[in-house]
Amino acid sequence: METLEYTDVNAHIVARCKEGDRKAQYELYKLYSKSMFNVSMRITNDYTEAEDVLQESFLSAFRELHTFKGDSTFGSWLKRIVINKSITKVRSRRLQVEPMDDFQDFAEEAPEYDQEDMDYKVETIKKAIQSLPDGYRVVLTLYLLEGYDHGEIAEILSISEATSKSQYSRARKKLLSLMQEQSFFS
Amino acid sequence: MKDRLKDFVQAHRDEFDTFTPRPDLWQDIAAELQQEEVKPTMAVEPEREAKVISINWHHAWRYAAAVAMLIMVAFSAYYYMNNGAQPSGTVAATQPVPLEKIAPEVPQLETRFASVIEQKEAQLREYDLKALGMDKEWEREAATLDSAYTELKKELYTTPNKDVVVEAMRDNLKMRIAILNRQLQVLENIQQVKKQVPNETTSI
Repeated sequence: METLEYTDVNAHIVARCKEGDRKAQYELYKLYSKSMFNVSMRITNDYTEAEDVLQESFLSAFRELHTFKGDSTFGSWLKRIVINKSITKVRSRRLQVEPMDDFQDFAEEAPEYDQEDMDYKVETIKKAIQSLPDGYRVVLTLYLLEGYDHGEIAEILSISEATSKSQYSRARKKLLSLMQEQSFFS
Repeated sequence: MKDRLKDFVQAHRDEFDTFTPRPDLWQDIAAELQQEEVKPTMAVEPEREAKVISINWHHAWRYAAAVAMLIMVAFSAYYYMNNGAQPSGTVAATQPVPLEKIAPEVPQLETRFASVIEQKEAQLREYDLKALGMDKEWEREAATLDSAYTELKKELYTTPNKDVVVEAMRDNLKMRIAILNRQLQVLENIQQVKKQVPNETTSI
């Protein structure tokens, strides 16, 4: 029920945005800029790039609003735009420094940690996410934080569902080991 | 398989969104949207029309200034070609003379317009332009008009045809008032829309 209500409220603002109502556009910006910025921050891991992504995403969302049919919420539609643009940024950045090999396997496997012993802290997790390699970080945040399942992640990244699963499991291990290191040093 | 990490993250989901973009990012977005809207100027609603015209003004005065400059250059060129050999022709231009002597109408003009402009600007300041993404646009227009005005004022001392320059200065001041009026009207429209539509808030 809550989802329905939420869609309706947005539908009203979205309709006004379609007519180029600047105030309605600002309403949507206020509503979504922070969460969308954080989505992009997690993928790009770069403040300036995340800002670029945010600006480009809102611009193309307002430009392409007529293609938004309302079969999803405006928020999830916008989120897909933000994610796609963020991934493009990460990929072009990787292209500049190394040959494109998005989801290479990392040979050294992190040792297993008994996660039941682990006391999770938001801060520690956030820091560990930021130190993950790009490929790991993208899959992990899409799954853990953005709430996509492996089928959806496979589609977003044009990889197979199996790759998404194995990539997530490796990323998760790496994350736990990074968290372990952090708590060791702190 | 139970993913304890995922459960924890889901439970603390909001705490992960801690970054905030710079506060004036919206202005950049709004400015770009504005630019895109200016291109298709046909068939717009009243409110948007107001905004579009304010930009057209912006262009119009630029053309006016450009034309005025061209005329001045042409006049000066003509003047110097005919009188260039005579030293008396340039002496007046190089000596500092008070503005009152060259163009007594200019100080009058300035005092006459200054109070109106000041009053309108004060009205404009009452609105939160930053929140509406209009402050940059306004600043830019005001700055361009200012610099053009200063240029014209300098021109007064050297031009052989001061009437043209004074006319351009008067146009500049009028343009400023017109833009201020447009801005105020747009803001008033926005204010009205705000009153009609109660604030809608949702969580994401």
